[in-house]
Amino acid sequence: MIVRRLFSVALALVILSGPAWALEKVTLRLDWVFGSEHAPIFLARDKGFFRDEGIDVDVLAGEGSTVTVKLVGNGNADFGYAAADQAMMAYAKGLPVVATAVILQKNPVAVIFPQASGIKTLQDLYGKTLGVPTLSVAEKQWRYVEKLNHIEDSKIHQVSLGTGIATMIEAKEVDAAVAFFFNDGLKVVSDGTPMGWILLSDVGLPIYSTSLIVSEDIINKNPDLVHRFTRAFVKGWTYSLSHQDEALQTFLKDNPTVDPKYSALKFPEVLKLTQTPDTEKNGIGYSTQDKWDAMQKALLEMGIMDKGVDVANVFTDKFLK
Amino acid sequence: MRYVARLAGQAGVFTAFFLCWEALVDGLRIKPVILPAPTLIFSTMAKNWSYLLDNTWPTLFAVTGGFVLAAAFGFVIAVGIAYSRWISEMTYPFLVAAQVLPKVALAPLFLIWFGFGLTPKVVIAALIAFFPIVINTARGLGSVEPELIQYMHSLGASWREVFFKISLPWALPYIFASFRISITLAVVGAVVGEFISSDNGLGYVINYANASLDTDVMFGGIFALSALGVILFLIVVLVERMVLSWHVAVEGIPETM
Repeated sequence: MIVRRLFSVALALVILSGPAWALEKVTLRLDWVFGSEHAPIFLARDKGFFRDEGIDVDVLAGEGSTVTVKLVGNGNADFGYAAADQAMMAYAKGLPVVATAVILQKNPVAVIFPQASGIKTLQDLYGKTLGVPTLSVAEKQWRYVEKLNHIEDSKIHQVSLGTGIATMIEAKEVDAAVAFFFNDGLKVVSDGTPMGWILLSDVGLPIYSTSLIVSEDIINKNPDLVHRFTRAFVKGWTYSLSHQDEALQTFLKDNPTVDPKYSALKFPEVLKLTQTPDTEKNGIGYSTQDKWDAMQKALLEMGIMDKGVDVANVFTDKFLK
Repeated sequence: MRYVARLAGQAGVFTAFFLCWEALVDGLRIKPVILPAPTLIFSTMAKNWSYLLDNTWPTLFAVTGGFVLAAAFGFVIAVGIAYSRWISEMTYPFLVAAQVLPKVALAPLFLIWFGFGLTPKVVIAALIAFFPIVINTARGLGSVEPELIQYMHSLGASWREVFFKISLPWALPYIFASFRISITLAVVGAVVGEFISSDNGLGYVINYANASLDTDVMFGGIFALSALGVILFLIVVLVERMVLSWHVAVEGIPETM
């Protein structure tokens, strides 16, 4: 009797959980703590874009692209959202990860400064105090740009910064800093100080940024899953472009503790980075061999990578369609 | 002979640890970027020894500076606690609260308060190293047998004489026990400071190697840091043995923390 009742309960559970039971469970590790730069990912999840592809996605916050590429490359996370240069470095270090959609086509690393500082060009930094995050590869990117633009290193008073760059600018401890313009830069703006910035990508460092990545291993074993996941992921971004407010509201609803003002400032700026002539023609996420080659060349010159890889292995556009 | 046997045993523990590690990495085919084998780490250290050494000095300065600050302030406060019931009762809760406070969380702010150079690292190292010194020194000074002090007073000794001839020597084993703990804590503190912001030091080496996916260099930095901590610890023990050579049982020093 009891056995029979248990059986019917079990049967009911199976029937009730039918659709969810059929979904493939997948983890997605982001690059950083949840911010409105991830709004389209929350939108894709909440609107069922992943479910429509038979996927149940678990979105996890990150602790920097470095950690994300390691987790994905080592099989501790299925998919990752991480910087393209970190993916390439991981590949060169024997952790084969592949970018299947380059979402942020432009590197958000910039020299940021209060507008009141009067800085317009890199030369205007002479005599000023510049905060440089020495604990990340952003420092090497900055040094590269300095050299490229014939900036005399010694004429700028450079100090090392870690986290909390926005606070250092607000406390006037530094006149300018090398940072993600849409994080630290817009944080200061949302606190009431008008800011300006010079994107490193506009002064000679044309590198791809945050991308959807997956291990070579998963691509080989389950290319269909990678295809469906990439499609749903990119659909979230494409939809968000034409429904910015809906995406932002979805994100704010899922993350009630974030600052709505700062989130609203940041989101349109992030979306701008997804747009290039390449993506206008081929859709969001599209990247080209030429630009990956250029990026590798820059990374080798910066000394971040000591040996090159076959870039055709590090990215693919074939899952976008 | 016993000394040699002990040294061999201690080296054996290290060797066994590294052998297990090596076997595990090889057996499970763990990629070097996730966890490098000890042999790879040691060869990387050999290759980069001058880089590691150059970055050891700033960390050493921060550790020593923090430790000396902690010892000086800790001693003064401990004297207050030991001789004034009022100071002791008033400050204890605050000291404990300050001790459990996660100083790591405050570290980014230290950058704003104390600037970019060595100072914030010294301050964090001092704050972390401070507590054991206060507690142990106060306990050492407070544990002097009252009969001894009464005896000194009956001989007409001044407060100063009692302190320097009886109380302080009596407390020294306690103080050195706290120094041993605090010097290792100061290493942790200095590196926390370097993690927050620095362009040199072993904390910088570790953090930057992590960001550039050079896990073997990162472990090289960790090993160098560990070696620095051990050497500083041994220096404290050496000084202790020299200062306390009169002490009958240096081995039996009370370890209160």
